Amino acid sequence: MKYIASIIDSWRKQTFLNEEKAFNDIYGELSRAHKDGVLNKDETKSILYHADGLIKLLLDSMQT
Amino acid sequence: MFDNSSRVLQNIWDSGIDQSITTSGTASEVMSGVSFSAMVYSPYQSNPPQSYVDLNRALTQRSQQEQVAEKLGVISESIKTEYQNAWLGLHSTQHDKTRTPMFLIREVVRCLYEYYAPDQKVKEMFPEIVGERICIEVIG
Repeated sequence: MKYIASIIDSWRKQTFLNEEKAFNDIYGELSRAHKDGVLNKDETKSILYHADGLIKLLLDSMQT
Repeated sequence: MFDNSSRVLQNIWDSGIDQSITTSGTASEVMSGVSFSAMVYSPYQSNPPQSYVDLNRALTQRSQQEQVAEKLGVISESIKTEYQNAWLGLHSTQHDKTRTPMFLIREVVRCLYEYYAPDQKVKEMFPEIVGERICIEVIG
């Protein structure tokens, strides 16, 4: 994340850094798909939406 | 109204209605009698009930989905496809419907991290981490 932050425009960087922890955590959160049994639909939908927001933020942050 | 929002949201999830829904549409496209514009003018704007939050979240995602997909397509067509399949699968799968989308979105995230922060460039910028495991931790 620090590398990505370093290549982002300075005026977009802070917005990105505000979500640094979320960016670090989201992969692990999505990995709950490995769990046995039926996944909790509400909980995992929240994770999906969160991930989608982060994807959009990352793409917007890297836009030149 | 709360019930209607929940029902509209559930209808969106369960019906497979996908690209046809936009934030500018009205709920009559999904279920007659409730307007999406109620989201904007809701008296609960400062502290909206969960059903509103859920509906707004779903509509926001839906309205931005194509834009995000197009940006992903510039990076890689396969990432774009995985992203689109994730949301499509969420609406078409009947059993354990979030599992496959979770895997697909995780792969999109992984590809994006790899694309924007290739290991080699990260090692060049942070030589102290050479030899350490820098890939993303996976919760088993």
